[in-house]
Amino acid sequence: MSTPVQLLDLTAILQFGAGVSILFFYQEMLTYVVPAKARTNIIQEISKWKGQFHGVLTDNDINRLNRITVDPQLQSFKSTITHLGKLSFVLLLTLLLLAAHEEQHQHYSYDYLLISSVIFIVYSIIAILLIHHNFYRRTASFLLPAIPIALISAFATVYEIESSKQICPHAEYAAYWALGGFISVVLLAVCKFYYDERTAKTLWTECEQLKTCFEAFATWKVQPTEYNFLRIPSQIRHLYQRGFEITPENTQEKFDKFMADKIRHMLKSHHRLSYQLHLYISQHKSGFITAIPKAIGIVIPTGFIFIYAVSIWHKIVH
Amino acid sequence: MCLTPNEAKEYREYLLSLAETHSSDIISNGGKDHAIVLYSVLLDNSRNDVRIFCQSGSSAVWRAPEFIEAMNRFLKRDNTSLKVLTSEEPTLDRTFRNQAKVEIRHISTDALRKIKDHFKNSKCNFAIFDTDKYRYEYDFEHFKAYCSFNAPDVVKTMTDLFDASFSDSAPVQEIAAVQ
Repeated sequence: MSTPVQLLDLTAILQFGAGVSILFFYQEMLTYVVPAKARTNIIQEISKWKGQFHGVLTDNDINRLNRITVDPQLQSFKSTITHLGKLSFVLLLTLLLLAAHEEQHQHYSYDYLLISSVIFIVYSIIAILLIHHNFYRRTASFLLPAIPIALISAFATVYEIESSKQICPHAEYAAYWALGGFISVVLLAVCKFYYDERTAKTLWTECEQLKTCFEAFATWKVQPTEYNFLRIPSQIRHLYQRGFEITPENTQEKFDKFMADKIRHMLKSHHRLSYQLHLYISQHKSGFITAIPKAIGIVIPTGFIFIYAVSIWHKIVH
Repeated sequence: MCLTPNEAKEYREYLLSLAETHSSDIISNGGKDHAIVLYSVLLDNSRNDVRIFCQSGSSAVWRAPEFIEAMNRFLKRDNTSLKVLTSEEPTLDRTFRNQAKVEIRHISTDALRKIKDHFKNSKCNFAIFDTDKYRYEYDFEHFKAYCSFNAPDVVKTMTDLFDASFSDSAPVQEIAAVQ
């Protein structure tokens, strides 16, 4: 018979986790951690595109750009982190209470701790993936997940070893598969994070190229010299057929269409523009500071996986 | 393209940010409403001389209250002057005609040809603000233009062209006297 895992062995980690979770109760702290300026920059960038290119855009294109909203204070981001912090605290507090109770009952097994961990981890991953939505304004939005998680942790996870074996004889294998599943989900989330970031970077590069084309063409229109003509990128000059006499007067319509098509294509292929931009800016413009709360948002559920992996390893070894 | 009050405010703020930072970015400007906002920001940020080459000075932009107010604010400031060169018979508002700081001329045929040749465009207008800001209208029918708040080289070329054309053309009073 395997030695039951002792929560008492993990008390220090649980206390540390609870302490970290408490920090995220306070959105004011996140206000300092997350520089709102970086987010304001995103809005300025979008206004800049609208301002700079509006002459070649139709009302529909402008409306599509207007629909892009980026919260400069990142309220949804902060409230998600705070929400997960509160939930982590509830779960960790429940485990600490169980650990305190363990002193008198040395034969508890935590095979079914998996259930509450799974629920919490899946919930956290969904919350992180939907981080740009603000779901957590009311107290009920906290109580609804917190009470079931606490109850499941308190009542459904603690079994005497004998009764545990009767209810679920293959608990260890189930734990293996579940753990593999969690890690895959977390890895998928991480991959998606980097994929979005890469897409945003591509979008940014496309915008910069478009800006270069626009400025070179406009400069030639204002000062139609041979030198300025040669500075126009070849992709613009190739819009016109060989033999076509390119003059400032007869080129505008095709160029405007090129610009509008490009911008429409970019908006179409990057319909989650605001989210991707937010990711990109937070990664590349404001440095690693903004990544810290985001990373902690991922670390909290990953920490639970780690704790549970340790408990399973402990069980297997013994 | 019509602007709602909010859009106009947002566009004005964008333009003011360009003016404040002396941005050398070239921006596109299309439609009457956007043109009015741009003109008013350019005029509010001009300290001395404004030169405008236009059709007749009676377009929807020239008649817009926001444009008239911005122009009056500019003309009320010290050491300012406005030179207007029109390709058709000038029909500017009396408010501008009767001011000493305003000089209006109807462009000569030769000068008009020079401008068209320079820009290789027969549908163009342009306006120069001080020594660094310009608005070049490549399609006056749709008020489509390019603009920059900091392009001294381009402005110098445009100013030379404008001043040469202006001196070649007769003042409006003289035209009226001849007629």
